Amino acid sequence: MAYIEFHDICKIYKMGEVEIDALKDVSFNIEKGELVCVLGPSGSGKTTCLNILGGMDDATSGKVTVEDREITALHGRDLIKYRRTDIGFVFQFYNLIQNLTALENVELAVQLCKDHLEPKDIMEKVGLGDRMDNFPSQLSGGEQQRVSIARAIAKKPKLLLCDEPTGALDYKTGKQILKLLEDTCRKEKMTVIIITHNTAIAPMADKVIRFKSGMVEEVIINENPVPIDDIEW
Amino acid sequence: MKNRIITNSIRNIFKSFPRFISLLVMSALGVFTFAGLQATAPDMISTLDVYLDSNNVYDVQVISDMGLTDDDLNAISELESVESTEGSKFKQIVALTGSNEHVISVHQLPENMNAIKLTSGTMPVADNEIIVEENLLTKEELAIGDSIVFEDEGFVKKEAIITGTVSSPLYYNNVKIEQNRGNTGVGTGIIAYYAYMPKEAFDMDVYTVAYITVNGAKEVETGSQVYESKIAKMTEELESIKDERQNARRDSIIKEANDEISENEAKADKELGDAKKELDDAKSELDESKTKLEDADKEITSNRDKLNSSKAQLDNAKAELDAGERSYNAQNEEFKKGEAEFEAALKSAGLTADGIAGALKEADNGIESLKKGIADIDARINSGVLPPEQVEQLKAQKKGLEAQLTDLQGKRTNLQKLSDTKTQIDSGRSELQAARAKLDSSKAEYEQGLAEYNSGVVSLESAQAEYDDGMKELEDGEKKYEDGLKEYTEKEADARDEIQNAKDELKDIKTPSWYINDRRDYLTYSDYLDDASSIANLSKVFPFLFFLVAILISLISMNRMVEDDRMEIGTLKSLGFSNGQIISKYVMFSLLATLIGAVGGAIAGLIVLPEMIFGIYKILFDIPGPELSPRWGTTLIGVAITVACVAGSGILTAYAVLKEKPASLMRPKAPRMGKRVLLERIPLFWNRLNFSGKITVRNLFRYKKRVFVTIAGIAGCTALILIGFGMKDSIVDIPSAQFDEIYNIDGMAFLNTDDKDDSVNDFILEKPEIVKTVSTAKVSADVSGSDVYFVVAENQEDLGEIVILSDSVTGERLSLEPGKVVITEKLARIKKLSVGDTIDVKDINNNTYSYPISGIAKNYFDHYIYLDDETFNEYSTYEPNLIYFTTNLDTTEEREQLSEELLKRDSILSVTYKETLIENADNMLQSLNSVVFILIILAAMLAFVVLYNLSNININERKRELATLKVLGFYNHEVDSYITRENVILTIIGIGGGLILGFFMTSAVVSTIEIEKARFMYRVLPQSFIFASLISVGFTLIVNFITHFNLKKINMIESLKSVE
Repeated sequence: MAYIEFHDICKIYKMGEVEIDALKDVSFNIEKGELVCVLGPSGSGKTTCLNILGGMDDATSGKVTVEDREITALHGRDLIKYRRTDIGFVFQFYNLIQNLTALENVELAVQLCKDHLEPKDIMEKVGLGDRMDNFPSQLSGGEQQRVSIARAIAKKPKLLLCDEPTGALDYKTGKQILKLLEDTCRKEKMTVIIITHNTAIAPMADKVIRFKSGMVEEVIINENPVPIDDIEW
Repeated sequence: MKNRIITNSIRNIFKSFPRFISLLVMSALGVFTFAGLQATAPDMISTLDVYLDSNNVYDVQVISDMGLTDDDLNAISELESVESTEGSKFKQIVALTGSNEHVISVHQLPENMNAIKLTSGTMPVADNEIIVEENLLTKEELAIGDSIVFEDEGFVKKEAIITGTVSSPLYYNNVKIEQNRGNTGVGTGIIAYYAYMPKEAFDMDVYTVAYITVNGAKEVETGSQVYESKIAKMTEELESIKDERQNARRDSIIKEANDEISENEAKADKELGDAKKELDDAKSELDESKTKLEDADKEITSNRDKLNSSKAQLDNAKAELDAGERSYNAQNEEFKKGEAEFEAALKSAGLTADGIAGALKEADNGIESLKKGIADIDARINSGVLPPEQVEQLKAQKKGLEAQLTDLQGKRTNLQKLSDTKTQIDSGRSELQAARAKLDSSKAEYEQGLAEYNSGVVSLESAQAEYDDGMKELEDGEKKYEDGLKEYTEKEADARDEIQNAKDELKDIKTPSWYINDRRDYLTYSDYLDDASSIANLSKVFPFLFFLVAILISLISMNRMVEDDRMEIGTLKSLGFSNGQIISKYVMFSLLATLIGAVGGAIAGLIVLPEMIFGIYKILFDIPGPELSPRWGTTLIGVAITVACVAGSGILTAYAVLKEKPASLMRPKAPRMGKRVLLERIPLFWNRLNFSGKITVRNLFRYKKRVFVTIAGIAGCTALILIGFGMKDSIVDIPSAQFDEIYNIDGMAFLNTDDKDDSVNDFILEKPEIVKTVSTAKVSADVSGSDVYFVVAENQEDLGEIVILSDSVTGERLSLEPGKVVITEKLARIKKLSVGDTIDVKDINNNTYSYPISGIAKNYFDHYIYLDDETFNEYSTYEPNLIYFTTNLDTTEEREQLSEELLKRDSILSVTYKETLIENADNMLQSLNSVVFILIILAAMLAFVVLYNLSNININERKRELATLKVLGFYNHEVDSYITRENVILTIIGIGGGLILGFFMTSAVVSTIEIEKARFMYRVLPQSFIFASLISVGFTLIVNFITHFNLKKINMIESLKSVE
């Protein structure tokens, strides 16, 4: 059994009388430790898919299991607990708490679970050892995203979900971030799922899932992922 | 093509409906309070104005202590300011109503002014008919047709029949609680009821009062400045003719009195003359009867002498008679003896007395015949013819005849002897019989004389008795006459004295005093205006605090809205819309919200608040109403302020935003920078904080504006609530404080000073329930327009035990100094007096007395001037009219029983207990208290809206942050606490600030609502701090609770959106 399994996930948004099928019978598997790229144009359902996996949204029908645990069956507190312990989330716009220093943002996440990494170590690891006491507004976009990643992985999540992590960043910084995610995946053996509309970075992934109009168009398994450093776009 | 800007604006309203509603509610609350409170006082006054004007109630009245004549009325009506004038009579009189005695103010049925309303029954027509206020029937359990008995003079009849009930515009204090229609110098000192009777019922020839309406006064509102100036002018004009009219009245009174005196003198002279004549007649009558009696006396004496002499005669006659009787008896004895001898001789002769003559005759006859026989014989012998034998025979026969003749002749001699004796006896008998008859006649004569004498004695005695009676009568008559004379002398002296007194008094006749009163002199009127001005003062402070808070909150709300719309504004701007078009959305939004809210609030406020507050004041005032009128001016001001502030703030913020370039607007506004706060430099504090604590502290410093507004909002509301409670605290315990701290009494008995009773104190003290008594006099007086009471200490120590006089500042006990007075705090404050100053007190006759002030005493209710009896005597003679007492009773029943017993004493007019006094005062303050309660509720409502609004802004502003936290796996309660912790801290700070602010503002606000006769306590009780805090905390909790659901609603997807 795969580490993550999507079984016939449908998601229908009801906007008044109009029903929008965001996801239609989505099924795929992700193995533990895989680096997965989810590709697709805007509105193809990739973010919805990630939201459901991250416990931020529920599916209309179908089943998602993570490590044999049916997360589509979780509700309320259990769902929060799942998010709290199992999921690390990296946002497109970093979503750092402006009022907390970089380190404190990490600590904020860390205080949520017992089994976690030492915030300072993780800050060193993401290369911000010397900017720990800076507030987000004092950091560049890339640095903020690093804090965001540090905040996500400090909880030692089972899954690291990244929604367009480089969407707001320039090429160079974006690449650095992708490198950090790749390293996290390869070195920490963490399952990392990156949503992007940048098809160019697909080669770095172990698995590429393509979405189109709410459906999985194709799942490509990349036997030999190319390190991000070797990819140019 | 429709204007899509408008479409957008309209949709925006639905999109931001909660914001819209909160703006609306806030404006509504602000304008509600402002317009409502501002309208209340004018509405109250116009209600009174309409009430008074519609009944044509006087503006000014002139009362003269010696009455007003038609001339006076004419003089008044000629004054320039007078619209019309009406003379009327009234009299305050003690009357028996059912089983109780009360003072009733009886008025003459009005002609045009002070129109009364018949509420049941019929108008009185006859001089023994009366209509009374309805309370009299209900409270005294009387019905139409029952009678009221007047116990004083002043009316034609001594009794009046109730024909109906009436409502008068001259009395509009509510008497549900205490039947008191004002003070009077009669009876209990309190007018209990009013009543009306026809003019004819009054036994007086002059008017008591002249009611005056002033030109143009009806057109202006009563109590207003214009009105007061008209009244002042009227008063001035009246003052100008006052002296002349007073003197005229005096002259006419003197003339009248002089006439009366002359009349009385003449009458007295006549009466005295009559009396004198009567006495003189009596005297001469007495003299006459005296002479008669003397004559009678003389006659009696002569009669007595006569009687005495006839008595002597009678006695002599009696002696003679007795001697006669004796000799008669002796003769009779002798005669009886002779007769018995005769009888015996007779008997021996065998004869009866009557036979003697026959026997004598027979003897004579026998002798004759014998002599004849002898003669015959002789003849025959001698004839010799005859033989001698025959002659011898004849001789023998002659011899025999001769013997017979001798015998017979012997016998005849004896018979003769007997016959002589018989004759002798018969003559003796007739002699005796004559003597007897004579004796008998003299006896009869004697007896008649005796009888005559006796009757003479009787008649003498009766004459004597008659004389004695006559004598006694005479003596009585003389005594009576003496008495009559004495009486006459006295009476004469009295009458002369009286006349002299009247003449003397005439010299002392004072000039009559005119009392020119306007409506303000009716206590209820001025109380009403005072209360209205309390409300007016309150409406000057309270709504502005409301506005301030509401506007502050609306401002931040609008600001937030514009900030939220940065992107849209940028887009529209880049699309080429003009600033005006873009702003129109916010203008429309805020205008709609505030206009709907403000107008709705204004309408509700204009109706609800005056209705409510007037309703509350109906506890005190019996006036129909209220007359609500739209107060466009103030309402417009309120609406304008709200709209200008809220819409203005929206426009200003929008303009500030519009100044930016579209490009920068389209870029997300840099989130507010996080930074270290000062507190972090204090490791001792900072290190102790847990993580969330640190976040909270930083957040608080991050959103300074919102934090400030929140604190200000909460502080403002808490302050408002605390002020409300503070007002309550300052008011509510005044009556009990008065009795707990100042008047240490359980009750008091009012005495009738007309009914002098020196032992009444002992009588009360003898009751086992009474612990202590203190006699004093409580006399009302006037200190430049304020009603004050003199309380006179008969014995300072005694009074001091029951009335605690302590310095208002230091609390030290004060003692009364001779010739000086101690006045109460509030009186000192409003009259700006301090120790060492003198206080001027006016008595009922407008005489002014000045007293140096030796102390200012703590006091809460009413104004008092304390002084000793000697100092008081200057003002008026000290006469105790009040006995304060303490009891050992606990229950109302016991107290009632005691007062029943006390009231049996004639000189005790009424008994009042502390509980009643407290209750009465409580009732009086209840109105204000209820108004305060409304304000507390309004403040609490505002507090709620403020907190809710701020919390919403807080959440909206940080939606993304909160969504992120959720994504990070914060439990709901952790997310809640992230926000609510801030709320709690802000609330705590806000409450703290509000309590301090409120505490300091309370005294300012309380001083605006303080009523004249009370000194409010200027305090905020600890529990009020607690209540005010609890209300704020309570609302924070409710808001937090609502926030919880709002937070739950926040979609995590928000976190994925780009920054808006």
